[in-house]
Amino acid sequence: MVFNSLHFLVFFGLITSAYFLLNHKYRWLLLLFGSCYFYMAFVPIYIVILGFTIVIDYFAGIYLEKFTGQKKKIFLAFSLIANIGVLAIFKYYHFIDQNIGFL
Amino acid sequence: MKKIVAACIFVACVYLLKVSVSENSMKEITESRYQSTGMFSSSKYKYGDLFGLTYLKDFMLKEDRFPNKPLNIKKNPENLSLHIISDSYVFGPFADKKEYFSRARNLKFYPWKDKNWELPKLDSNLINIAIVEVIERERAYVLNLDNIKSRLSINNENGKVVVSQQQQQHFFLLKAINTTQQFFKFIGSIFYHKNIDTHLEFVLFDFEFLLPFKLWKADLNYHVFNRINSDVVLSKDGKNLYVKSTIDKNSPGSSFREIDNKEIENQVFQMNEISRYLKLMGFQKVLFTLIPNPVSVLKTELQPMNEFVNRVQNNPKLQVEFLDLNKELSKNPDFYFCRSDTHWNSNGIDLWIYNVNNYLNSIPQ
Repeated sequence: MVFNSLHFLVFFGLITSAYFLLNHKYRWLLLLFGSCYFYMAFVPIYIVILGFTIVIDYFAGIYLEKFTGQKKKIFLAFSLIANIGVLAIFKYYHFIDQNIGFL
Repeated sequence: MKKIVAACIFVACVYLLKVSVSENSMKEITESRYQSTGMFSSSKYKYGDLFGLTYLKDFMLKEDRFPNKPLNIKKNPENLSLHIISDSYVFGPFADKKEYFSRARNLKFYPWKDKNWELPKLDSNLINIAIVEVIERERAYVLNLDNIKSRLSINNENGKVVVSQQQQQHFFLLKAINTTQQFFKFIGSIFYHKNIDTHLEFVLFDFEFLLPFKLWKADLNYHVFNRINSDVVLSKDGKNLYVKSTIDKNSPGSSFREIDNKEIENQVFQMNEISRYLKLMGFQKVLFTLIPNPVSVLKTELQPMNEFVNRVQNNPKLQVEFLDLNKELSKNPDFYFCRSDTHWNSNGIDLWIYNVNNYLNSIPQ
């Protein structure tokens, strides 16, 4: 789903209108669902990757608030590695591999 | 008030999304728009499919794409059972038109657009004939034995599904992966459709009353930015529209892609194998008909062409019966193809059925 497509226009209209219709308490659920749908519109199975980072970041957020000092830094590092790791593997692994091969 | 507006937008968007991901809903809307007349009818295919993609005013032509009348018909003896594997060049004009085929008692189509075909029911009291028709631009994708077998859901000569030893070793893993993929495919199909943007465009904007705006927009894009739909090419003389895949040298179905003898021989081998296979199934006769791309006949692009159809039909290793249309098509190229559509016009269709009936009439009684 690209931003200048009709699909995005309809999707945007749906999520925005639903956002204003919903009670504040449930809006986060709508946005979560909306994000997942947006991601799945590309390739549905890729939601597994997004699900992985959602779960890690959800718990990392909770523990970052709960702990202080060294432990807090560990959770932050864990979350960063998970997010950047996913990016590195799925976005840049092929690029790096190809360039190393070329050299 | 804000809530009412939001509710209206929500309902409209849900409706649009629901309709555009559902094949059935799209079929209903498409049929009702095509059948209706007036300002709310569809204008997309009224003047040819390539016009419907480009909306170039010069190609807003009403060209007839149906056969004129049955030609070269022999009624007796009515002892032929015809099974035609075809694309829209033949399936479109002749679906359910048995009366156009000489001596035909039965007529059954197997369109390339369908992924699975019913197994042909052959009648031992009749002469069963298979006609395999394909347009040049599609032959690289469809004209091979494995494709025919897979559409008939047969993986080997005995009709059984074969699982290799290596596949058996990883059977459970493959099954698990397959189930997961199927699950996500199913989830995806609920919310999403690969043609969702085309569907939305059709639902929202394909109305006769919007046609003047589309013509104006296409005119502006063409004359100011020299841009038309990326799937369509305007011929060098400006008289014809072509599907890009027939022009683009990188496309397998292009008339201009360099094709070596090995590829021709492979195609010939595949046609021989298909003929052999269909005869093993019980067909007494198998006839091939390869329709050249319009650009291969019209020769407007002033570039060397691969002459694919000619090279195949003149290959000494070809052991199948082949319907030669090239000679007639080349005599009067402008006569047989639509200018604003991918297909041929009534004259092309008539030429095909005339030659097919010649062949059917020549079959011994």
